[in-house]
Amino acid sequence: MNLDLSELGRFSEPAVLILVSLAPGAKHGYAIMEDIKAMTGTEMRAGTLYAALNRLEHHGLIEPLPAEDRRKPYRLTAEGATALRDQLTNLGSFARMGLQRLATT
Amino acid sequence: MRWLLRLYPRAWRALYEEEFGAVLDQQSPSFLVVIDIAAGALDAHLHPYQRTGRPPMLSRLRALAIAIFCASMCFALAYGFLQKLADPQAPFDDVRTTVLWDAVPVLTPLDDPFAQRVAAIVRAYDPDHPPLTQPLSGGTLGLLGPLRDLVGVSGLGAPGNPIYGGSDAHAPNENIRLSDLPRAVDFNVYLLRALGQAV
Repeated sequence: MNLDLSELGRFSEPAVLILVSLAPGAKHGYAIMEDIKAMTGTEMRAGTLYAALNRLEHHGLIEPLPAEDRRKPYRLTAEGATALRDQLTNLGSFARMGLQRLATT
Repeated sequence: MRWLLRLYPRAWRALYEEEFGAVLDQQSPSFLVVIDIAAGALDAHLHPYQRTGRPPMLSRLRALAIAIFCASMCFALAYGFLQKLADPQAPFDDVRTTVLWDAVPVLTPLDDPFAQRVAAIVRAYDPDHPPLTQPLSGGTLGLLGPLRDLVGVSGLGAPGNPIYGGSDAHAPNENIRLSDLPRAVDFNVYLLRALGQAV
């Protein structure tokens, strides 16, 4: 059964950003933070990042790889990819519906 | 800022401390980063997703105890802050106090023979208005404490005075109505004379 990312509460938004960042390939914590900053223009701080990573790892949506020089990369699991795809699809549908309603006003 | 990682649970640190520390080494310290890490540490205590080696019930109890402690601290901080806001004159820098003497409060012993004698005199003075007898303490009657401690008198019966009863002498301005004064003088003379006769 796939996890609905909204179940992660206030960490659902950081979780989506992390999953999107990991979609092209594995990254360690600092690289994820830099990638999110480049994607969104906002900074995700370390406390929030690792709280979200902890939850994603616990739910099996990401998995750690062997550490490289104190840095442990993470990669998306198959379950993580599915959860991200579902979430982005829902967001896309919602965005389209909102734009359509806006166009009719 | 690595010392902040000590706020996290030990099991959590075993999983993330090294890489978290490497990330922190690349960040410039700021107040917001400290707050973010402190909030993350609190979250790690309240939601121990990682394997802690403890039974789930113990983890829940531990999380509950931490939540209660944090709620208490937040309440205490908010209460102190509100008190500070509500008191525009604090901290009273222009007031200095020097304790010259203090006394242990002592209650008037109503069963003391002297108190009983005064009550009887009052009943004789005005049968229509029986005496009100109640133990007093504090205020001017702090005198009873030094009497006990220094003179060895274990309490003292204190006769009341119509001036106080009629004028509410402990009103903010401490004034006494002049119309009560003649009756008060009359009562006091009667009281002292009756006490003298009783002896």
